[in-house]
This record gives sequence, structure tokens and C-alpha cells, in this order.
Amino acid sequence: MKRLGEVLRELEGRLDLPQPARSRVLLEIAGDLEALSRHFESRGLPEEEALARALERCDLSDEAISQLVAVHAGGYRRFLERLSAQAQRRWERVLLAVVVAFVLLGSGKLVLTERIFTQAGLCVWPVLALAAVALFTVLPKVYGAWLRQDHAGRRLRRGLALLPALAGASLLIGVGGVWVELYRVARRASLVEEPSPWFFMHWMLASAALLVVCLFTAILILSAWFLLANKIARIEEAEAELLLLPPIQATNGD
Amino acid sequence: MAKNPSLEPQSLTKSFHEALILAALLDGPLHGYQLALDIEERSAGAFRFKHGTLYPILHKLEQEGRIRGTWDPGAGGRRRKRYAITKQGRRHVGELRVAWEGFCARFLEFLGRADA
Repeated sequence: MKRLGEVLRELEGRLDLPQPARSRVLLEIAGDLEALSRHFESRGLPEEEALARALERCDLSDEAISQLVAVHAGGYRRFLERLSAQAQRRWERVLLAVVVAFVLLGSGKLVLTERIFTQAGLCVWPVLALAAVALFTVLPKVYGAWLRQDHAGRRLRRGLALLPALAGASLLIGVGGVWVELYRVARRASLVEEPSPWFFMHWMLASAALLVVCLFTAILILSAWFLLANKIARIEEAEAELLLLPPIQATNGD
Repeated sequence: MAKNPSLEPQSLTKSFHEALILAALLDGPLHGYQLALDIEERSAGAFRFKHGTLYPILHKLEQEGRIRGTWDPGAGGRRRKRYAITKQGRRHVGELRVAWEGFCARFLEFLGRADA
């Protein structure tokens, strides 16, 4: 099957897609080419000729490749996939872990106090709801990817793009909440003849507390997303790399 | 409810390919290569797909939620992607069918007039 490996290597060079989308497309085409080749073999063609016929039927022309790339060029998806496969080197991952740990340790103790939730006002509840949705999305995937070692990429990927959206929503609620609190304080202040500076102190306190909770939630969600996306990307890239190895190495596994 | 797709001359090929793929999947899930073979066999060789053309359409239909791809463990341990039609896809086939019926009727009527 050396020729199949060559075709896939050549194809990989033409696929201008971010990882792991490139690996997914390669895996799909490799599976189909092999199966098609076997189909022609079952009709009496010798192996070499069957593969040649399969390649001819496949006809991965430049036009087809550019259409395929265009389909996967959706802004949000492409951005996420480029971002998710970024931290490939060990030192990059360590640096990321240090930054996240610093933020979590620095603000974690503060966020876990009851006081900050009462100070943050009503807008904190939608943020907690978002955090709960994120938790229910992340936990089964963490269990699948690390504990059960279930490497079914599709199942792990399902709903993953929701996580950055949840983190973004949490930040938006934080920013929106600051203005809502300002309006509430200003309205209360307008009802009294001589507003006390405490009104605005209260606004600053509530806004700061809300922003801390929102940022903390967003960082937690994004860290979980980043870890999961990287894990899935590595699984898929490892599978694709195995495809591109010469046949003897490929059978030995990695 | 989605409106019926209108068939413009520029989008005929795209709509034609989508209709063939979705209709082939109505009988059950298929792998990409099986889809192309199935369409060719069922149309007695009239509609022949190059697989390279098939992938962009399949991936677009999947993104639109009209089909759903799942990875099956294949022979020799390599996974294969299999596509199944979704409810939304079934609705879309019905809409395409109506659009194509109207289009073909008008086209044949036009040709008939040219004949007379």
C-alpha cells in the first residue's frame, strides 16, 4: 500500500486547512480509498490495479480540494481550530498551565467566598448557569478522553465549540452587568435629595465583584476547552501521522 | 419552516448533487465511497460521481445539519466516516423534489415549444 501513503502525503500538502480538520479529511479520504480499492479487488482486479482504479474514481482535483477547503473556511470554526492546535510544545503547555494556575489561585479564594456572590448582584446568576452548562459539557468529555480512553473524535468534539461561546457570553454578561448596576444605583440615587457617595461605592464594589466572577468563569471554561481541544487534535493528528508512515512502520504502531 | 429552494441556472449542479446524495441516504447510512457507487448503480450509470466532488458537498451538508457523519471502526482498524440523513435533510429532499419537478416541467414545456 505504498502508493496510498504517497497519495496521502501529496494530498496533505495540498490541503490548506488548520489542524485537526486536515487530519479528519485525510482520515476520511484514506478510509474511503482503501475501501474502494478493496471493492475493485473483490471484482477480480489485482491489488495495484484496484488501487489505481480507486484513485482514478476519487479524482482529487485542485478544484475539488479548493472547494473542500472553502467548506471548512468558516470564520469561527477556523479560528477555533487554529487556536486549539497551537500549544503543541511541552514548554508552551507548561507556560499556559502556570498562567492559568496563577489566575485561579489568585482569584479562586476570593470567588469561592459567599460574600462576593451577594455583592455581585443579580447578574451573577446567569453566569453561574453558564458555568453549570459548561461543567455538564466538559465532565463527560474529560471522563471519556482521560479515564475511559475513548478516542472517538466525533463524540469528544460534539459541543466543544460551545465552550468558547459560553466563556464569551460570561464576559458579555460581566460588561453588561456593570452598566445594569450603574443604572440601578443611579436610579436609587435620583430618588433621594442628597445622594450619598456610598451609592457609587456600592456600584464599584458590585461591578468589581461581578467582573471577577465573570472573568474567573470565562478563564476556567476556556482552559477546559483548550485542554480538550488539544487532546482531540493530538488524537486525530496521531492517527493521520500513522497513515503517512511507510507501511512497515505503520504496522508496528506508535 | 424552510422555504422551498428555488433553482437558478447557476446553482443547478449544486442542487442536483445535493438531491442525489440526500435521496441515496434515504434508504440508510452509507460511507462516502458507497454513496458514489450506490448513486451510479441505482441510476444505471447515468449519474457518476467523482469522489473528489463528493467530499465538499458531504461536508457542507453535514455543517448545515442535513446529514450526520459518524466514525465506524473499519476493517484493519482504520475508521471510516459514515453519513446518515437527518430530519432536516429529509425535509430538504422533499423541498428539492418539488423544486426539481417544477423546474423540469417548465424546461420540458420550453423544449416542446421549441420543437413545435
